[in-house]
Amino acid sequence: MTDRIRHVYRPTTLDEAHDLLRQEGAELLGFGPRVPDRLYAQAERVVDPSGLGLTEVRLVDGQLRIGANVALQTLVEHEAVRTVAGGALSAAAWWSATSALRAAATLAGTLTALDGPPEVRAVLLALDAHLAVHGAHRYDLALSTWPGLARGELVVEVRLAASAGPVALERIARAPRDEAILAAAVALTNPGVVVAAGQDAGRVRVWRFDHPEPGAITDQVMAELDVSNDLRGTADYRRAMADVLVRRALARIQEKA
Amino acid sequence: MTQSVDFILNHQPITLACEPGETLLSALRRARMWSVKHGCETGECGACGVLIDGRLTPTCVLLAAQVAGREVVTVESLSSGAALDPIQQAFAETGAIQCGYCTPAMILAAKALLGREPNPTETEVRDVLSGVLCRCTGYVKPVEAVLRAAARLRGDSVPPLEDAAGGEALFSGQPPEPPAPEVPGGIATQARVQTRPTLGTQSATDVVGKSEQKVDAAKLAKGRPVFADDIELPGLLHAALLTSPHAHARITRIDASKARALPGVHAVLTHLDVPRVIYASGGQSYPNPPPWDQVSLDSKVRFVGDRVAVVAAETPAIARQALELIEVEYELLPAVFDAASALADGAPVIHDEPDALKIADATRNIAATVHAAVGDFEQAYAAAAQRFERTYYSHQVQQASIEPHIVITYWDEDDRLVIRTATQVPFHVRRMVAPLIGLPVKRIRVIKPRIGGGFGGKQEMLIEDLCAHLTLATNRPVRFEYTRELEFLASRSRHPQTITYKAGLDAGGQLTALEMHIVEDTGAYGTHGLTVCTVSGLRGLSTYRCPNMRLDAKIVYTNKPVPGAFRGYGAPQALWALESLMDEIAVALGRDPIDLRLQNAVRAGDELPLAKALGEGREGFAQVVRSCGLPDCLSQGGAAIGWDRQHDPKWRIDPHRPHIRRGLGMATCMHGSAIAGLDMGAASLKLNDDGSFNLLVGATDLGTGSDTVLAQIAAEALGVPLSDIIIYSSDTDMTPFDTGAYASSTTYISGGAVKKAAEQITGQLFARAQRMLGLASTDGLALRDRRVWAPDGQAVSLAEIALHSLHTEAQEQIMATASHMSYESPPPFAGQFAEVEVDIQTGEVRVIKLVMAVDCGTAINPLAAQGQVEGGQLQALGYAVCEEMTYDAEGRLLPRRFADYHIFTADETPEIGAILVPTYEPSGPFGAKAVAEIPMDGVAPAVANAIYHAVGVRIRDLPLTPEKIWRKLQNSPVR
Repeated sequence: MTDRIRHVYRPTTLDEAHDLLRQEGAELLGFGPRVPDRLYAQAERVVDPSGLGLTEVRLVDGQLRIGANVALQTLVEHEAVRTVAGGALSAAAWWSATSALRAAATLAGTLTALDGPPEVRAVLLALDAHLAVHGAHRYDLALSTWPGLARGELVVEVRLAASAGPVALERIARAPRDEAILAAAVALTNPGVVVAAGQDAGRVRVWRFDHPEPGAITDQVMAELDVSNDLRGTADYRRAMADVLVRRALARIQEKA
Repeated sequence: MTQSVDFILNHQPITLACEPGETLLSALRRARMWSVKHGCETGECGACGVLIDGRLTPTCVLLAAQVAGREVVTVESLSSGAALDPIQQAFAETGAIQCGYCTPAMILAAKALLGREPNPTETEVRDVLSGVLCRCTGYVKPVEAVLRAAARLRGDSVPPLEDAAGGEALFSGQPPEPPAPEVPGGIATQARVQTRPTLGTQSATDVVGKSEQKVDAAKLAKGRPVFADDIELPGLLHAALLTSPHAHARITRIDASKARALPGVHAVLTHLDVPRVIYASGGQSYPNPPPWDQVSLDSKVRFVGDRVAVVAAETPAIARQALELIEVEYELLPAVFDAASALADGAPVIHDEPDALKIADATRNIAATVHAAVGDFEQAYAAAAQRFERTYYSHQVQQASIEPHIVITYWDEDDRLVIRTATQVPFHVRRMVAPLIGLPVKRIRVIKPRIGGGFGGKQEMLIEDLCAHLTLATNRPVRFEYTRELEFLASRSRHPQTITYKAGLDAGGQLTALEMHIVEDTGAYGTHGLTVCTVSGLRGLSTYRCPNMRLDAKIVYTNKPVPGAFRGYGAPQALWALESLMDEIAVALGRDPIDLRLQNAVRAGDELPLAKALGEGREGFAQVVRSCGLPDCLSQGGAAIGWDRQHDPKWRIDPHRPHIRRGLGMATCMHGSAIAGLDMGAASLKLNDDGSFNLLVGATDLGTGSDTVLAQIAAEALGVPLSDIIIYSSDTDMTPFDTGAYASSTTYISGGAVKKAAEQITGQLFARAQRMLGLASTDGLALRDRRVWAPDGQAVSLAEIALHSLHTEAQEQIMATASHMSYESPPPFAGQFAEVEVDIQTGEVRVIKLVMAVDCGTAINPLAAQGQVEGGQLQALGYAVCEEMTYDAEGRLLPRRFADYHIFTADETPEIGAILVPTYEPSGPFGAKAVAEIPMDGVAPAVANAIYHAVGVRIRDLPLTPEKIWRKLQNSPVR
C-alpha cells in the first residue's frame, strides 16, 4: 500500500540520498526476494536509488565488489559472481526467488529486509562478506557485525574475497521452490569452518569453528539455533534438520576442498 | 500531488500523470495496457509483469515513478491487427493458453529470453517462466510453446502439431528411458514436454476429436481487454471491504460517520444499512441447498475475515482510508477451529441467529447431515474374512485462481442493474442477488466476460451483492476487486474432512462391506457444505463394487474461513481416503495394488447403488455405468510410469545418494459428468448470410476451453469448420440459461444442448435445400464441407441457403434453441500414477513424475483435454504436498500471500504425463464424458502410496510435508 507517499526523489549522489533519507517519513525504495506485505505503507516520501548507480559487479584488488542496487538476477547471471565461491552466491540468489522477482529485488533490499529467504545472507555470512555503508560518513564493516541501517544510511556495496573457496548451501523445503524450512551454508576457513543458518524472521546466524568436527559443530548449531514453529515446520524439526543439513554441507565442502 | 513520469512505452515516448504513490500496474492499466493483470500485491504471481529494460518485472511492487527514463514493453506491442508474434502464435497453437490471465506475462518472459538466448534449454525456459504463476496448465504446454517459438525464430523446421507425435503413443509401454543430457535447441530434445495427446484410435469425425486451436486463444495471447476488469466507466467508484479481526464476535457498536465524512467517500454500508435477507451463497440451482445462514452484512462475525462494512469512494486509496475511520466495538465470543471441538458439549453456538433456515442442529453446530445405505453393512462387516478400519484427514486448501474475484456494477440506460463479474454461474448470480438487493430478476443483467481461472471458487455469489448494494446506494458504477489477502481470507476453499472407512473383504479379496463416516468442516457458513459432502459419499462409495455400504456424514460449523466449491467437489477428499485405504489393504493382503483395484472396480453395466440416494441436496437418480475404460487406463498409465520397477531393488535405492529411496504409487479415480437430473444447459444457433453461425451459450468458459469444445460440437454437427462458428458466452440478457461451469457438466450437458440445437438447424437447412434443389424429400441429405449434399451429388452451400432463406423466398431466420439435461451422470475413469524420491534423513519428498491415464469418453478437443489433465495434476500436487490453510490459535489465517501459500512454479514442476484413453459414452455428445475435475482426485493418494512404497511410512493426513514423514521415519527408520 503506497497510499501515503507524497514525494518521490531520485538523488544522484550518496550525500543527497543520505540527506533525503534523514527526513521524517522517508524510506528507500527497494526490497529483497520477499516483498513486504505492506510495501512502503508508512512512507510519505520515498527515495529511488536508481540514480545512484551502484549496479556494477567488479573485480578489484582481489575483491568481488557488488553494488547495492545489483538485482538478484544479476547475481545469478554475472560471470564473476558465478565463479566466486563455486557459484554459491549465484545459487543462493536463484533459490531466493523466481525469475521476475529476482529482476526486481536488489542485493541491498535483501540485506536490509526484515524477513524473507535466508540463502543470500547465509552465503554472504559464510564468505565473511563486508559492507560499505554511506551515512553521515562512509564506513566498512563485516556483514556479521553489522547492526543494520541507522536512519539516513544506505548500503553502497558488498565485498567478498574473489579467492574465496567454495560454499556448500543446503536447504529443505515443502516443495523445491517453496521458501526454505531451513537453509544452511558452510565454508572452510583457515583453520576451521564457518556455518551460517537461517533462523526466525529471516535472520541468519553465523558460527565459527576452529575444527571441522561434525558432531561438535552440529551440537552447537542445534543448541543455539533460534527458531520457532511456523506454517512450514516446527522448531524441533528445524533443529533436527540443522544437524542433517550442516553435516551434509560439511561433507560436501570437504569433498570439494 | 500529481507528477509526470516520462518513459518509453512500447517503443514510443510517453508521459503519464501519476500520483506519487501510484503503482506501475495501476498507471499502465490507466494507460489502457489491459494485458497487465492484477493477481497479487507482492510481485509473486507475476501476472502484472512487463519488460522493463528487457527483463520481466512485476509492476505491482514498483511505483510508476520508478520507470522514468526506462523502457517498458507490454504484450500490446507484439502484434497489430490479426497477426500474431511467433511466440503468441506458439502459445495459441500448442494449447498453452487456458484461462489466459497469466499468458501476456508468460509471453513477455519468453520474449525476453529469446531476445538474449535464441537457443534455450528447457531449464532456461522453465526458469524464465518461473516468475509467472499459472494455475491452469501445469506449465507443460507453455514450455513447449516457447521451445517451438524459439525453433521457429531460429529458422528451424518445426513440424505441425498434428504430426508432432507421428501418431505414436507418447509412452510405449516400456519403462521410461532416463532423460538425455539437456542440450540447447530443438523441440524434440526436451525430456519433460509432450504436447500431443495419446489417443488409441483415430477420430472419424471432422472437427470433434481434433485438437483445434482455442477460439479465444488469439485475443488472450494479445492481451485484449476481455476480463471483467478490462473496462472503463465514467464515474467509477472503488469499493473496499472491512473485515473482522476476530473469529467470533458480536458487533455491539459500529460508527461509520467519520468514514462517511471523508472527502471522496460516497457510501459506507454496515449491517445497519442493508436489508437483512437470508441466503446461501453457493452458486447452485433453485432452491439453493440448505442451510441458508448468511446475510449481506450481519451484526455478528463468525471468522477472521468475515464482512463488517463496505465502502465506495472515488479512489482505492480513499476507500482504504475510509475503512480505517470506521469505529467498531466487538463483544468477543469463544470460538472453535476444528469440527471435533465444534461438536463437543458446551461448544459456542456459531449460528444462534433466529432467522437462519434449515440448519440441521444449530445448537450443536451441525449444518447438515447425510445418511445413505445399501444392503446390510453391519452383518457383512461382521462376516468379512478381512476387516480394515482407517481414518484419514484432508485439509483446507484454496483455489487460488490468479484473477481475483472482481465485480463491476452499474445502472444501464434503462435503469437496469448490470453486474459484470468473474463468475462461473452468471444465471445463479442473477437469481440469487435479486432478493438481497430488492430488485426483480428482470431488472438485473449479469455479464460474464472471460474468467481468469475459477476452479470452483467462482461458483459462488461471493461479492456481487455488496457491489450491487453500493451502486444502489450511490447510483454510480462501482468496482470491487479482492486483494490477494482477501482472496485467502474471505473467498472460498476446499472443505477439510475426517473420513473413517471400515472395509470388509472376503477371502478372495472382494469387498463385501464398506462404510464411510465423514466429519466435514464447513467453516462459518454452510454454502456448499452439504452438497460437497454428498459428493464425497457418492464418490467414496461408488468406485468399487460392494453390496453392503453405508454413509454417515456430519457437516459442522467452525469459526474458520468458508470452504465452498473447489475442483473435484468432495471427490478429492473421498478418493484420498479410499485410495489410501485400498493401498493399505493391498499391502496387508500381499496383493498388487492394481490387481486388487481391478478385481473390485465397477465396470460397464454396473449400477452405482448409492447414486439414487445421494443427489446433490436432494434425491438423485439411479445410475448405470455405460462406458468404462479403467482397465486400459491402469495398464497404459502403469506402462508409462514404469510400474514394473516397483519390485526392482536396484532402482529403489540410488547408490550415489544413499539417503534417497524411490517409490511408485497409484490410485484409481472415478468422477461424474454433471449433476444428474439437475444441471441444464441451453444453446441458441442462428445462420448468417455467409453460412456462418452464431452460437450463444450460457455456459461459462473459465479457461477450460469449453467455448472451443462447444463450438466444435456445433461445427461437427453442421458440417462446417470451427472458424464458421462464432460463439458468445455468457450474458443473462443475450444467451440462454445454463446452470454454469461446475460439476464437470459443460461438455456433457451444454454440449448436449449445442448438439440438439445443431440438429434442429440441420432439419431447417435440409428443408431449405430440398426447396432450392427441387427434391421430393429430405431423405438422404447430408451436411459436409459447408454444403448440403443430395444423394444424387447436387449440393447447395450454406451461404446460398442463408441468402435464400433470409432474402429470397419464404423468408425465415434459420435458427434454433435447445436445452439439455440428463438423468445420467456418466463417470469418467482414470489411473493416476506417481514416482517419488524420499529423503530418509529429512522426510523431504520430490515427486519426479506424474502420469494420469483418463477415460473421458470421446475427447472433443484432445489437446484441451490433455491440458486439463496436466494442469489438474499439478494443482493436485500442491494439494498433496504443500498447499495448506493454517491458522494461529486465534483463528487467524497464516498464509495470506503466494510466498507462504506455495503453488508450484514452472521450474519445480515434475514431469507430467497425460494419456487419453478413448471410450464412447452413449449418453454424451459424440461420446463425450467429463475431464475437468478428475485430475484433482488421484494425485494425493498416489503420492502417499508412493511414499509408503519408498520408505514404508503411511501418512494419513494431508498435506504430505517433510516434517510429517520425518517424524514417522523416526519411529520406523529405513535402512
